Amino acid sequence: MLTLNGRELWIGYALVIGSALAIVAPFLWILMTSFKFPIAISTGALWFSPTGFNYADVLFGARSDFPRNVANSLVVGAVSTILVLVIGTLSAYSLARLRWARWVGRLFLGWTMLFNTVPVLTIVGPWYLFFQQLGLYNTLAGLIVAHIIINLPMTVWLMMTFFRDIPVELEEAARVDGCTPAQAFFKVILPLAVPGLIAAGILAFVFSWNEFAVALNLTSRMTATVPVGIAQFAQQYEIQNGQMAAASIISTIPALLLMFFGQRFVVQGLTMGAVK
Amino acid sequence: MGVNRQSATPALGQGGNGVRAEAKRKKQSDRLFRYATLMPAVIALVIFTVYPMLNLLQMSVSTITFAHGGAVWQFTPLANLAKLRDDSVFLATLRNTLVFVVVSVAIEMTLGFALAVAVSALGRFKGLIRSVMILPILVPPVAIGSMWKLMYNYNFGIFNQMLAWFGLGPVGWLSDPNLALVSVIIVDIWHWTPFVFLILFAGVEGLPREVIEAARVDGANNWQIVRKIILPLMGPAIAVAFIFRSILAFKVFDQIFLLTSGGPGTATEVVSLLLYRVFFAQNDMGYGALLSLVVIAMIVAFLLGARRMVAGRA
Amino acid sequence: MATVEVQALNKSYGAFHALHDISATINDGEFVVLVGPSGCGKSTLLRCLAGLEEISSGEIRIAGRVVTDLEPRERDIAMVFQSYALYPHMSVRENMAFNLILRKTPKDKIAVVVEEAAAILGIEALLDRKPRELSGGQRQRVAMGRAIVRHPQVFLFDEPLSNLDAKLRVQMRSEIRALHDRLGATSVYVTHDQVEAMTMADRIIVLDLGKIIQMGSPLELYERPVNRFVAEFIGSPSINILSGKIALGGRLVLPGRDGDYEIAAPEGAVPGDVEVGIRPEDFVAVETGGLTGTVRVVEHLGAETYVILDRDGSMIYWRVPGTTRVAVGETLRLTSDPSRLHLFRPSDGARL
Repeated sequence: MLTLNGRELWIGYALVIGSALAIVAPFLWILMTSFKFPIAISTGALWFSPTGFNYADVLFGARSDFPRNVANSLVVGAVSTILVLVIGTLSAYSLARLRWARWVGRLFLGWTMLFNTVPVLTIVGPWYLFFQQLGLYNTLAGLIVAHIIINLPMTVWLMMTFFRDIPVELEEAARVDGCTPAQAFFKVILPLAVPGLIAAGILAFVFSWNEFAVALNLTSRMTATVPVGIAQFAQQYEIQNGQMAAASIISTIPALLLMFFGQRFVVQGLTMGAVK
Repeated sequence: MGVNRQSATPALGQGGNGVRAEAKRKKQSDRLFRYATLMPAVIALVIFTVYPMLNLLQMSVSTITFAHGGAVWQFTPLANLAKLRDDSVFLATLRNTLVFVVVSVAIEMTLGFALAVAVSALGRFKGLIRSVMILPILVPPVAIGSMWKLMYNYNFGIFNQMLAWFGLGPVGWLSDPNLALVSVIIVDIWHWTPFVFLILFAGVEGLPREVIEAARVDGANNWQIVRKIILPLMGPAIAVAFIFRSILAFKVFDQIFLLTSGGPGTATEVVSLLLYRVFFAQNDMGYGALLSLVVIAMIVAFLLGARRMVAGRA
Repeated sequence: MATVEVQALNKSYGAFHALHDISATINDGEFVVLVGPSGCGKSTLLRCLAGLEEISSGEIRIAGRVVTDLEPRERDIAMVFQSYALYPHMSVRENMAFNLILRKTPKDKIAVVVEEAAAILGIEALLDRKPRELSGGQRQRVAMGRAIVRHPQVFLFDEPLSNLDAKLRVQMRSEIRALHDRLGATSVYVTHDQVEAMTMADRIIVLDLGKIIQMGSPLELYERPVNRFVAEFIGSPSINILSGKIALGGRLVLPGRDGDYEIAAPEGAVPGDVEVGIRPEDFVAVETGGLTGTVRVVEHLGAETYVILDRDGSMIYWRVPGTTRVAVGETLRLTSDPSRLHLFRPSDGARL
């Protein structure tokens, strides 16, 4: 790699350390804010006595919907992730290995690419009408369906990349060894794709947990998710800054957990397609 | 192919029809697996993406009102087109979106590349920097919006506080029409430069060491190595990061919804926000559908153009 | 009774005709090597036998049973892949037992069979390791073990030694052959390495451009190649090809700047232009007459020495015992016993 010296070295350190601080600082500031009483927030006091008031109000307040938001997000995230993994993994394997005519793969990938490129709000309008007809509007089931659809393209692409990395010879060996195509998939290929499943699953869950545009428009108070709940704090007549900060901090918990425990998979998932 | 095989010599011994029939039956179960794996995804996509997209066509020539808990469709083919013709907000929205995408993606790519090369060259803190950089990508965009909304706050936000230390300000970061778009772009740069960094860092780390060492032996200085070796070799990774970012920036919704909701006036109105407003604030499903179709058409044109560009280069 | 019969087999990918009217019979217990340059279709043919590729027309029979339309799992064959294709998530034991488990063989029987195979291959100590913990040679043995536990009708080998280093390759080559003899199975072995083919095969099938060029024992191929392609492919260093002429009166003339070299043509040679193939070991140095050439390079291998001579710009390989002393720059005269010459038609390379 490059060898930096003298001035270049200082510029390098300044850039790297400066960027790291710039990323972390807002989190620290908001963390600080979340422990302030409303008075301390509105005066911008730097010195204050920390309080758990905001968290208590968000999590245990009589008027607070936030616990329900968290529960909804967990249910929607978990169920949609499991289902999108099943559907996406099967179809990715099918497209990567089961010798479909070329147009099938092209059409599938082309369509998902297009769907993934257009703003999701173009389709939320039709979904709104369609889901009302189906009785899915304002239900967690409806949101689960929407999140499966939104995460399907990413899951398929990611898993296809993983399947393509598994040598074809392994499948052929399995077939010679006596496997049906289904057995070759479940006994040989799928166990090897577990890292891919973890990466895709983590990303699907995070995207579902974070998703806002669809949840905002297809849910109401009882079915709202965490991002919708956070937005509520900003939308109310008097903005509840402390609660908003506290709710935001709580909403980052999955991200923090993943940063510490699943980083390898996240980085792999995010950079996979790019480097190859 | 079956026909050709018939011409071969008849099977010996235990061969013959029994084996063939069995083979056919087995192959059918194999084919069943092939369909069973792909069909769930295809059916889901047809019902929940193809059908709604087609529905946009019908919606775009209709006026849809809500009565007695149901939607009432009226066929009014020209009404929505007329709205589009008179819609000045739409043009402003396109302009804002374009500025937003071009400026934020350009800065993110530059910063992300510089950072990727710097971290790789320093050879220290790699793990730490990567951990830090993952955070903004994984955090809900809404939370980022609310964080920055607090930081941009006119009365107690950290920026105006810092300006006050130098006797400056306060500045209406989100309320000044000339500044709001810049403020929103700053948030996007903070949010997404780490993503560009991660992709380009993986690219830099994957470069063949020998090539760079050879360049150094050939007498290139660091700047020349970056310009002449690293940048060209990183072409594919840069292209991927650029395309990803452009698409995501074009779709931006969550943070701006939180920060400004498109205001003040139309200063930060972008495509997704406009669609949201027409569909769900004005409840104008028909016109929203027409706008959606226009947006989709622009994207298809862009994708086809981009593909031709990529194909032309290859 | 595990013969393998292939009849009028054709395989095409779209417009590309990969295999052309292949017909061959492999006898029970025979070790047959498919050899040819890359892209000649040898691997494709093996994969057709395995059932990994569907054939376009023709018929394949194993032990008399038509298997043309059968899946690989129904053909009762075992295959050793170039990359070994060991299942990375299974231990060596599980790798070897996989087929038996799929066939619902009783557990105690599996244990016995696997131990037996491991003992044959000398990998008893590795049974509980994962493939990634093994060296290349050990993986190779496990791949063999996976094949032999099944007692299949036919063993198929797809360039199984090409990922090993040179020394190990020589060792494994004789081990595979010894194993074949011990199990008495029928084996079909693909390689691009003619040395492997010569050393291992009972019979070699030479393929080029999707066609069978010649079938025969190693020595038949070496001594009576049907055309220039086979002559050049088999043997190392490669056969020398010189252009010459059959003159009237049954003389073979090899024109040269320093005088023509004339010998009696093999019997029945028809006058006209010919290409003359002379194996490097078939030259004899003489004092007068013969082909003249200047020594350019001398390669000492120890037991033998390759002398490379320049004759009017074309290179001639001469293989001599290691005790022969030759100096660079020397001019030598070489002749050959007329009965050792191979004559080929210049137009299509066919043997005359």
